[in-house]
Amino acid sequence: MKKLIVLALMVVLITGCGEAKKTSETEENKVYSFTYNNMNFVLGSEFDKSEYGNETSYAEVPSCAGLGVDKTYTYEHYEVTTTPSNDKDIISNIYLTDSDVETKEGIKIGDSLDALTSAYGEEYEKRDNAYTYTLDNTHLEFIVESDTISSITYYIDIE
Amino acid sequence: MKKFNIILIIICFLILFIFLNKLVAPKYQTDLVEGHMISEYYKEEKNHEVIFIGDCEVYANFSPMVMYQDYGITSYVRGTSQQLIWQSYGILKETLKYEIPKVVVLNVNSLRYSEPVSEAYNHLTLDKMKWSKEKLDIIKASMLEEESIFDYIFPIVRYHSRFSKLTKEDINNMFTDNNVTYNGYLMNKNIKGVTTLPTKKKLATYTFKDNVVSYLDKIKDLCKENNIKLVLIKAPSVYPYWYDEYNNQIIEYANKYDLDFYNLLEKADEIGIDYSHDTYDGGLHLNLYGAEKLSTYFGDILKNNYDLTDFRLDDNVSSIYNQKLYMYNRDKGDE
Amino acid sequence: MNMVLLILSIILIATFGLSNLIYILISATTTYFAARAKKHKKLAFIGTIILNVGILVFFKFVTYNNFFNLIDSKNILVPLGISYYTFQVLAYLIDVYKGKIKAVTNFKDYLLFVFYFPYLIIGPINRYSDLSKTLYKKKKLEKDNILNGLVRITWGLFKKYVIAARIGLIVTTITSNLDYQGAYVLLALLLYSFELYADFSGGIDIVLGFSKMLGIILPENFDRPYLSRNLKEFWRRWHISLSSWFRDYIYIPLGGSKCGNFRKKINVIITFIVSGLWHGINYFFWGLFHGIIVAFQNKPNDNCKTLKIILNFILVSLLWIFFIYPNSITAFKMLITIFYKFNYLELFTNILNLGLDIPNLIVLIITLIILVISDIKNEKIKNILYNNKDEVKLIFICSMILIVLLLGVYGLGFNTSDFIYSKF
Repeated sequence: MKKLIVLALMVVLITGCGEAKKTSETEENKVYSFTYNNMNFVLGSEFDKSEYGNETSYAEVPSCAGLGVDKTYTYEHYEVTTTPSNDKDIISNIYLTDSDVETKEGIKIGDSLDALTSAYGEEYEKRDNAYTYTLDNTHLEFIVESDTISSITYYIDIE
Repeated sequence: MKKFNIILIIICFLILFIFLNKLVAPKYQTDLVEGHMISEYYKEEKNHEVIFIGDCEVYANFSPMVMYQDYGITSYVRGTSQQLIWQSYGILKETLKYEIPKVVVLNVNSLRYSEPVSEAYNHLTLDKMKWSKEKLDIIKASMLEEESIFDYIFPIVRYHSRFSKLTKEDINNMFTDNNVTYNGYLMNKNIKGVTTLPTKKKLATYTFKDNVVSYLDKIKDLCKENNIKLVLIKAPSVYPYWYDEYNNQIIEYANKYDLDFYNLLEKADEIGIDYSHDTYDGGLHLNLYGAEKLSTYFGDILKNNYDLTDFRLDDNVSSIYNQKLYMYNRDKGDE
Repeated sequence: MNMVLLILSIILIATFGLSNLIYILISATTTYFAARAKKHKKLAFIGTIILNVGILVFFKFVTYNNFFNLIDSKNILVPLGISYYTFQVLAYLIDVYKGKIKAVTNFKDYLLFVFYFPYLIIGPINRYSDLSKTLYKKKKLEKDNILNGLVRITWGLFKKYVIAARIGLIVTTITSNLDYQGAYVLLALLLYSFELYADFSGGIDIVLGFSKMLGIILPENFDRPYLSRNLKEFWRRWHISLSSWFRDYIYIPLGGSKCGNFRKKINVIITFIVSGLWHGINYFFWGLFHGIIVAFQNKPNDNCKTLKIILNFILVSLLWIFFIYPNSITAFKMLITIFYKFNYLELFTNILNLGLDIPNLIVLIITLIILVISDIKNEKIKNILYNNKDEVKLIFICSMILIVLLLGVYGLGFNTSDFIYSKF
């Protein structure tokens, strides 16, 4: 009986040891981000206007009861919206406005649904015309009409 | 003797408990005043022939004082921040327990939201609403996953973290109950004209969701049962964008059920709205100047189309409203 | 009354998922019948042990690291309380086999022993001979038991939600960002010692307090562990029901101290490694280090008592490194930064950015002091509380409830990414 316990323990130990030697990678919390002309827009990070050049138009959108002001910066090919969070303005939404820009995976407005699923896979959530891919608390939404992408939006969950 | 002590201890506990609840709950008197609006209806004389329901596009844009002053209409705006359609239904149902108006005006902007938006707005709408079956229904329909019913029953459960952030208002206004609106109208005299707006974004769908339409049906049926005229409006707020697809669905619905629908956004010129001057936040809501123009315009529509009484000729009502008008004009005047 | 308790326990377990009931039932029935086996006793005994240990090991492995990334373990639910009830039934079976106790003949009684809901959440691991003394008594609800039980429950709630959860806000801030190194890591470890103790012992207080209300006595799991003078003593005061289980059912069967000094040290180390693995596969090194150190320690004496206590506390704190980082490699890396990064000034100036504002920091410090005093003056305080008038107990209970409601860290409003946080 004693020997059996020792044997069982050895099994447990060996697997335990083996596991310990393995270098387990902690998965980095990946979130969606958009890049254009070496400018990086990361959802959830603080928005630093000076990094992104001059916007063509700027709008402030207060929320219903004075609970913060969203700021929208329109640039030539895309529009970035920030939301206040903990006294900072963080990037909460990036909306691509034409087909001159593309996502990091090479998808742009006008591409086919097939191209989309080739680039991003099948792990999307489909709601009405929107195909949404999720990484952590960020989302990449493609609106598809007649098998063609008509709109691309990056957005983050606002608590 | 011991029994007496035990009872005394329990009573002290209950008193302290109630006190702590009151201490940490937001007072909504000087800060976040939108949270106080829902409660101001209860102490009113229930003589309103028109009730407005909806989100900030009603409480910022319609002034019952002007509609009384110009036409003798008695009205009340039961609007709250980000009021969702099922909340409007519950609030209307509750209102009908107190009085049956002749007309209910619903702002259709909220039909674009089919899911609860944020727990903060839920609280702004619900915290000061009297407890009733309708309130429970609204809570159940509005709660987000991370919320619990106890957040609403005991303020200390939701707001205890405020103990380290209590302000003067929390102490001074623990027992005050001052109105922040004029019959539900939240006055704002600031001027911030429309300059730029965000790009009009494509949506995944433009069709109102089933649950939203079912609540619209419920509101329609509730009005029908009580012989109330349901009037649909779209307030003249330029943002968030009121898509044509939304507008068409409302027109279709109105035609189908023989309801009046006024798209006041399209009538901005006729109303005389100057978007460089008549809004306080760049076009999302009208300020006092815009709201008064709109109220004069809309009051005229109400007077001409719905059989409303001119209460300026009623001694009882006019004495009450004259007092209200006095305060309203006084607050309008001071800078 | 026993039936009611059993049925309630079954219902409560079922609310966590029906599959939980099945797994506990398997362990309960196999050990019940194996204990009562008249023929093939040894076979039944060994087979049942292998089956139950196998199930436990399976769940511990298969959910660790998604089983070497071969499967998606998100959908695999580890049965509720499996670490606790498995050890509890094995202890029972082994005790019967060894002749220490008689097999239970009443199946319902045995089921209650295994299914009794409170211990499944957080322990303690019970011995049948002890628990059976009070588990089956006809429970009349006695006023003293109820009051004393409530006193203990509210004290546990206070420790868990006012102390532990508050400390957790700072510790999480530090450990979720690997840029917080050196002094930050040391602070996190020292604070975590209190957080883990307050959380764990607070949970135990709730379990024991609740049982007390029913007149059921469960064993103590903590005996002022941070007043230990060395690691060897620490393990007689920390998670007592677990360490005594390992002593009786691993260490002693391995030979204990009876096969010579060298073998004794090996036995100690092996036992602690298994203990580490019981906590989780990635606690292997934690178990190993504790084992090596304890193997070379003797019973402590009272020379330089205070110094020993402080040093031991620091040692235990440092070893919690494996509890606050998700894997051993990261844990080692961050631990080492303590010894070459001396960013204490930066930490001091940054103290208000770690998740707590000034009022909360004050509450944290005051409640920590209360916790420490409650251990140092343990006997006196227990006397004041439990041997006192009902009114005093009731005042304590009511005060604790209000304090937990107001100062507890729970629910919404503490989500620091909530942009309305500052208004609400």
